[in-house]
Amino acid sequence: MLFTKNKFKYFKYGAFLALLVVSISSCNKFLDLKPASEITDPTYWKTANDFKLAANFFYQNTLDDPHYSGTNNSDNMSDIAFGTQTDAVSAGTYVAPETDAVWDNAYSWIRNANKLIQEGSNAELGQDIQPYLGEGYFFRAYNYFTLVKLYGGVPIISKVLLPSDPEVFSKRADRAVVFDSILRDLNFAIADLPVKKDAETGRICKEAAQAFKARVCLFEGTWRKFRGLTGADSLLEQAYSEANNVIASNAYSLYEAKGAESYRYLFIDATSIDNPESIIVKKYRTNINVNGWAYGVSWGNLNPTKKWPMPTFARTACR
Amino acid sequence: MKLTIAILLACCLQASAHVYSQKKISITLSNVRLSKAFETIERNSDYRFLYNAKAVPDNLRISIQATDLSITQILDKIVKGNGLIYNIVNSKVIAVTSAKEMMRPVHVTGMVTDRDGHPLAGVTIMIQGLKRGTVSDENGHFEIEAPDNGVLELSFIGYQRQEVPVHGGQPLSIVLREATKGLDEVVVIGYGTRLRQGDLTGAVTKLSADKIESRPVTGTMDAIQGLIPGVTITRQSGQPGNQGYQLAIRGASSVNGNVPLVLIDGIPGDLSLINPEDIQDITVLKDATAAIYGARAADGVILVTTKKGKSSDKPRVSYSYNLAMKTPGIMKKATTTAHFVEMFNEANKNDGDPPAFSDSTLAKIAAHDPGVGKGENWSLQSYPMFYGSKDWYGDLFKTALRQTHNINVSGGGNNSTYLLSFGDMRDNGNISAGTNASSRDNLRLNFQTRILDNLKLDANVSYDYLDTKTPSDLNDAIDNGLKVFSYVPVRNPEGNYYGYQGYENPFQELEQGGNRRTRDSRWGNNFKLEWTPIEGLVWTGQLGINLERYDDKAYYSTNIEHNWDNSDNLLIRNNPNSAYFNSWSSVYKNYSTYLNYDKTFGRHSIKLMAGASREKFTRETENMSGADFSSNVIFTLPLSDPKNLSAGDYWDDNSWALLSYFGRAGYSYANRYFLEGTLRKDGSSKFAPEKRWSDIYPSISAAWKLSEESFFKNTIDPHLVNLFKIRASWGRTGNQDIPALGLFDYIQLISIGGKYPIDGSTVSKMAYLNGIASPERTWETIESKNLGLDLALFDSRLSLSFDIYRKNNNNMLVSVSYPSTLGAVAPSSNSGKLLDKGWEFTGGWNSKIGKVQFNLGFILNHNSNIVTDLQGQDSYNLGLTTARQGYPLNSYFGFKGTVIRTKQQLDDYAAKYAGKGIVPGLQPNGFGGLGIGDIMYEDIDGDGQITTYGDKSKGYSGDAVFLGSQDPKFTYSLTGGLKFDNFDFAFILQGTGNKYVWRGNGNFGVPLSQFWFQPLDYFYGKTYTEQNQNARYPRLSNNATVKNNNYQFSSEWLENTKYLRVKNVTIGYTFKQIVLKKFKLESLRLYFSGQDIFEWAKGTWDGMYDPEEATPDVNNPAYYENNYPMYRTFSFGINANF
Repeated sequence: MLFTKNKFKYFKYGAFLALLVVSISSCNKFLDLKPASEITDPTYWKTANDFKLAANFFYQNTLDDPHYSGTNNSDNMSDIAFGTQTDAVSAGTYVAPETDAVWDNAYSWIRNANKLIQEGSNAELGQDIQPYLGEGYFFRAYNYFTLVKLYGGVPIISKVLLPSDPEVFSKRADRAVVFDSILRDLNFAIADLPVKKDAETGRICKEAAQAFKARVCLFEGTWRKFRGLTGADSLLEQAYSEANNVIASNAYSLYEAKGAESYRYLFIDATSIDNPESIIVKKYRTNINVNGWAYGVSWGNLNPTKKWPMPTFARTACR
Repeated sequence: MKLTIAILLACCLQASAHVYSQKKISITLSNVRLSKAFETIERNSDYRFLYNAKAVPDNLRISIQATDLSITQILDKIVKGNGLIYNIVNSKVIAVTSAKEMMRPVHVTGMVTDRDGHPLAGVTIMIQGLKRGTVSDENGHFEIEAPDNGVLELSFIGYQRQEVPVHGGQPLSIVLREATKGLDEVVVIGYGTRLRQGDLTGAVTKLSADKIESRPVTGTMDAIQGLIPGVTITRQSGQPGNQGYQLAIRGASSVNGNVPLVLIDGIPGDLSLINPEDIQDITVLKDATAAIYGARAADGVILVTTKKGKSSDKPRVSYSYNLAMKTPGIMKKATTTAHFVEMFNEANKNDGDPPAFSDSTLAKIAAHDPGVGKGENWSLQSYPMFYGSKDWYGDLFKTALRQTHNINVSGGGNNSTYLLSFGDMRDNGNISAGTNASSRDNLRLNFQTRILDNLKLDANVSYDYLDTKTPSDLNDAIDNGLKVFSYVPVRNPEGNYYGYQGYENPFQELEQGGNRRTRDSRWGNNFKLEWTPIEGLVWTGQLGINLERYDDKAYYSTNIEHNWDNSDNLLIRNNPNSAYFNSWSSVYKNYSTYLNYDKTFGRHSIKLMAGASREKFTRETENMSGADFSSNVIFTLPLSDPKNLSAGDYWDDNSWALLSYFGRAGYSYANRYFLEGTLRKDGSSKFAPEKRWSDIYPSISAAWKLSEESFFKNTIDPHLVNLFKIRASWGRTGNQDIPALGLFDYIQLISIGGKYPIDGSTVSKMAYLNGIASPERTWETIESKNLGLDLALFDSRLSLSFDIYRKNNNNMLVSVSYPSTLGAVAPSSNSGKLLDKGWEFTGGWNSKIGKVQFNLGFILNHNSNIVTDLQGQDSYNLGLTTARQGYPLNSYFGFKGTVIRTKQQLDDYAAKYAGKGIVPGLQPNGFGGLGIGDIMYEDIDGDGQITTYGDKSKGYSGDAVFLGSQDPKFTYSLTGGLKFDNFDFAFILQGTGNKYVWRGNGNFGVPLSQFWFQPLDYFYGKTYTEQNQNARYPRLSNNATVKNNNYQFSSEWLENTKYLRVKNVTIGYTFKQIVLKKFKLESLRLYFSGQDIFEWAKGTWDGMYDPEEATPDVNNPAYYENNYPMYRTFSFGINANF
C-alpha cells in the first residue's frame, strides 16, 4: 500500500517537473522575431512613395559627380596646373587593375534598378508609379552606357540575382546586344516618363530621356560609322530624330537670368532652383549635398600655373 | 552612510534568523524520515536532538499533525511505539536511541592540531547524522555534547575531512592532515552538476578567490591574466575605463571573433565590470565539457561563482582599501631638438640636398639658446625657429593615483545567509591636462534562504556602474604630442597656448577641446529556486534579468591657438563646435529550468540532468548630434543650430533570441572509471526558420583513475603517487555569436537614408537594397578533442597536468567572392575551415618546511592555428592580414630585406633588380635613388624582380612571404607564494614566446616618414651612415623614392615582442586579534603590491612600446601612435576583518 502510494507520488512529481521543463520551450514562435527598426522587402513596395524613394537612389548615386568623375588632379592634364610625379598613363607604366569601382558600382546600381523594375512591373499601383518605373528603365540604361563606353560588351543582368543564380557568371554580351538593351530600356523610359511640364521639378522626364537617347545613338552610331559596322546610319538617324524631339518640345532654354554674367553663373547661381538650361545634372545645395573638393590644390599634387583661374590659393595645413 | 545601511540591514537579517517559538510547537509531517522529523522540531524549538543514526531503523517514516502541543506530547507520538526511547537531558538536549541500546549523551572535549602540533582554530566539528556542531577556539580546543558511540566529523578549509568515533567522555586529540589540495574541491560544471575536482573527465580549471583578491588591479580581467592555463588575456590601452581587455580560451575557433561565454552564477555577464572582490571562484571549461552550453560555447565557458554568506553568530564585516600609484612606465619619446636637426641634416646629405639647419643654429641648439630666430625647417621657413628642447609627449603624462575601497558584510542563521558588498574604485588617468578619470561602483546582495524544507531560494542582485571621463580629443592629443617639434615652446611670450603653424597644441586640445563622458550602468537580477522533492532529485528554475544603460556624450569645444606674436592662429579647432549623444539600453532575459538526479548504489554512481532554457536580448540605440551650439561650454541639443541637428546612422531597436534543450548523463564506477555525455540543441533567431535549429551537439568524455586500481596501488606507493588519471573528451559546439552576422540577415532589408536635392532645394531621401539576404546560412560547428593526464605526487604536494587538444571549425562563415555582376557583396557562407591546436602543461608544488608554507605554480601553453580553407579567398595585403588560407590568423606578410652595406653588395643587387618591381633605379651617390645604406630585398620567387604578388600565370608567387604572426604560440606564467608566521609573499611572472609587431605604416614606425614630423629618438644613431656602417636601420632620407624603397613592409622593420613580465609582487603582514579600545579587529593585513613592475622584453624600441601591445584592428595602423600608454602600479593596501 505504502509502496504504491509512493509510486504515485513519484509520478506526480515527475509529471510536474516535466511540465516545468516543457513549459518554457514549447513554442517555437519565441524565435520568430521581427525587425523593429529596419524595413524589410516583403513589407515595402506598397505605395507610390516607396517607389519614388527607390528611384531617388539613382539621382544621388549614378549621376556623375564632376569631382569624382576624373581623378582629383585632372587639372594637371591641362595647362592650368601640373603635378610633380610622372603620370602613369603617359609614361606607359599604368597597369590595368584587377578590379574597378566603376564596374562594381554600375552593377550594384543596376541591381537596384532591376529591383525597381521588377517590383514596379508586378505592382498594382498602375499610373501612380509609372514615372518611377520609367526612371528605373532610364537609369538602368544610363549605367549600361557608362559600362559600355569604358569596357565595350559587358554581361547583361536583367533580374535581381542571388549568389546561387547561374546568371552571376554570365559572359560578356556582344557590344551590339548591350546597345540594343540600352535602347530598349530608353524606349520604355520615354514611354513611361511624363513630359517636363508634368514632371516633378528636377526629376528625369520624357525629354531628358530623349536627349540621353540621342547622345547614346550619336556615340554608338559614330563608333560604328568609323569602323564600318552595320547599323551606324540607323543609329545616327535616331540620334537626329530624338534630338529634334527635344528641340521641338521647347522644354529647355538658355539660362539668361544674370544677363551678361549668365555664363559665369551657369553652375554657381546659389538662388537658381531649376536651371532651364540643364537637362540631366548633379545638384548641389548647402547643407544637403556639397562638394568639398572643388579645388584640391595641395603641395606636390596639384600645382597651379600662372593660367590658374583663381588668383590665390591656400596651402592646406600640415598636421 | 552607505556603511551604516549595510550594517543595519545585516543586523535585521541576523535577528530574523533567530526567532524561535518558545513553548508549544505546531508541526505537520507527512511520511518523512525520523531524522527529518527531528530537524523540523529543532527548527521550531530550542531543543536539540542527539541520536545514534545506526540505532534508528532506516525505513522508519513519520506522519504527524500537531497543533500547539508540548514537546513531550510530540515525542510520545513519533518516538514511542517505534522501538525507540528518548530522554530530555537538560531541558535542551533530547537523546534518542533504540530501546535495546540506551544511549546517553556525553560531554566530549578535544584538541585539534596540524601535523606539526600547532593548534587549529575555526575547525568545524559536526555530529554525524545531525546538523549540529561546534567550532574549535584559538587553542584548537572544543567541547560538545555528543551521543556516546557516535561519530564526530571534522572539517577545515585546506585540510582533509576526518571522522572520529566517540567513546565515552574521554578527551580527544585529533591531528588533521592537510588536504590533498584541489582533488576534493567541488567544481561546478554547469546546470547544477557538481563534481569533485579529482573526478573530472574534461579539461576544466578552477581558480579560487585568494589568487585574485587584494591586488592593485583595475578589474577582474587584469587580475586573472596568466593564472589559468589555456586562457589568454590581452589589453590594449592604459586609459582608465577603456583598457580594452580581450579574453580567449585556447586560441581561436573562428575568423569571426572568439568570445568565450562568461556566466556569473549561471547567467551571462561581463568579466570586465564585475568587482573582483566579489568572486568566490572561476571555473573554466575548455574542451568538450563546454558543449553543454552549446550555442555560445564554441570558445569555451567561464563560470564565475560569487561569494555567499555563511551562517554565523554575528555578522562578519571585512573592509579592504588599496591606494595605487600608477607611473607611466613605457612611453614613446620624440627626438630632442639636437638629435632632430642632426638627423634631418643627415637625411639632406644622403639626398644631395643642402643641410636644412645651419651651423649657427646647431650651435645655438647645443647652447640651449633661449632666443627666437628665423625658421630653417623645411616648409616652415616663414615661422620662427627656437633652440630649446621639450619632451612634449613625456609632459603629457604624469603619475596618477587610484583608490579602491571594498566592504562586505555577511552572515546568517540556520535558514538564511546573506552577503552584502560594496566596492568603489576611482582611477585617475595618467594624462596631465584635461579631465581623465574613471570610477567604478559595484553593489551586490547575495541572499540564500530555505523557504521550505526542500525549497531553496538563491537571490543575487547586483548593480555595476562605470563612469569614464576623457577629453574628447584624447587620442588626437596623444599623437600630436609626438608630432609637435621638440623645439616648439608650449606657450607664446604672452602666456597663451602657442599654435605653431598648423600643428595642434595637445595641451590646449586636452584642456579646451571639450570633454567626453561615458556611463555604463548594469543591474543584474538573478533568482534561482531549488526544489528537492525526493532525495537525489533536484529541480532548478532560474530567472536572470540584466538591464543595461549606456550613455556616451562628447562635446567638441571651439578653441583658438595663438601665434608667437599673440595674434589668433587662422586654424580654429573644432569649428563649429559640436556634440554627439549616443545611448543605448538593453534588456536580457534568461529563463532556464533543469532537473538533476544523483544516485549511488554500491560502487555505481549516476548523475542525470535534463533541461531547457530561453534567452532574449533587446537593445535600443539612439544617437544624434548637433553643431554650432550657441554656448561653447553647455552642450544641450536645443542650443544647437537647428539646421545642424541630425540623427546618426546607428539607430536601432532589435532583438535576438535563443532556445535551447540540453541534457547530461554521468556514470562512475568504484571511483575508478568515469564516463560522461552531454547533448544540446539550440535554435537561434539569427537564422532563417529552416536553418534555425542546430544539429544536436554531442559530447562524450571519460576518465580512468589508474591510481585507484589495485595493481597500481600494489606496485606504487600511494603516498608517492596518489593520483594518476587519464582523460579523453570529444564534442561539438555551435557558434552564432558572430559580429558580422546581422540579426535579420536572412530577410532582404531595405535601407532608407541619404540626402540629395532632386528638386534643387529640399532634401530627398532614398531607398535601396541593403546587402543580399542569406537564408542559407547556419551555425558554425566546432569540433574539439582533448586528451589529458593528471598526476598528484607526494600526497598531492606536487600536482601535474597535461592536456593536448585540437579544435576544428568545419563550416566557418567566410565571405566568398562572386563576380561584381551579382550587384552586392555576397553574404558569408558556411564554407571555411580553421584548425586550432595546442597543449597545456600545469604544475604546482605546495609544501611546508618548518614554519614556512609555500607554493609554486607553473603554466605553459602552446597554441597555434591555421586557416585551412577560405574558399580560395587567398587575397592578402602587405603587413597584417586577418586570415589567409594556409597561414595562422593575424599573420604578417612582407619582403625579406637586409641593408646594403658595401659597394659590392649594391652593384650586385642593382645589376639584377634596379628599376624593376618595387626597386628604384640606381642613382649616383644614391641621391634620389638606390644607394648604399638602402634595403635590398630577396627575390624569393626568382622571377628576376622584386614584386609583392608576382605573376601567378607564370608560376611566380611574388616576394612577399609569411614573416610571423601577431599571436604568440607560447604563453607561460610562473606564480609563487610563501607564508611564514604572519608574513606573506606572492609573485606572478607572465610571458609569451615569439610574437610579431610592425609599427611601420603610421608616422613614427620609421624615421622621418614625413619630413614635417620629427622621428622617435630611438632611431637616433641607429641609421646607416658612412661612419656607422653596422647600423641596424637603413639611411635617413626625405626623398619619396628612397623612403618608398626602404620603408616597404619587410623583415627589417618587424619586431619580435616576446616578453617575460613581473606582473605582480605582493608582500604582506597580518596582525591577529587586535583590540583598539572597544573596537575588536579579528585580523588586519597590511601589504605592498606592485603590478607590471618590470619586464624582460624584446622589440620595445628602448622601452617605447609596451610588449603586450598588439593592434586590435588590422585596419587601424594609428593604434601604435595614439594609444594611451601603459603604466606600472605600486600600491599599499589594507584588509581588515571585524
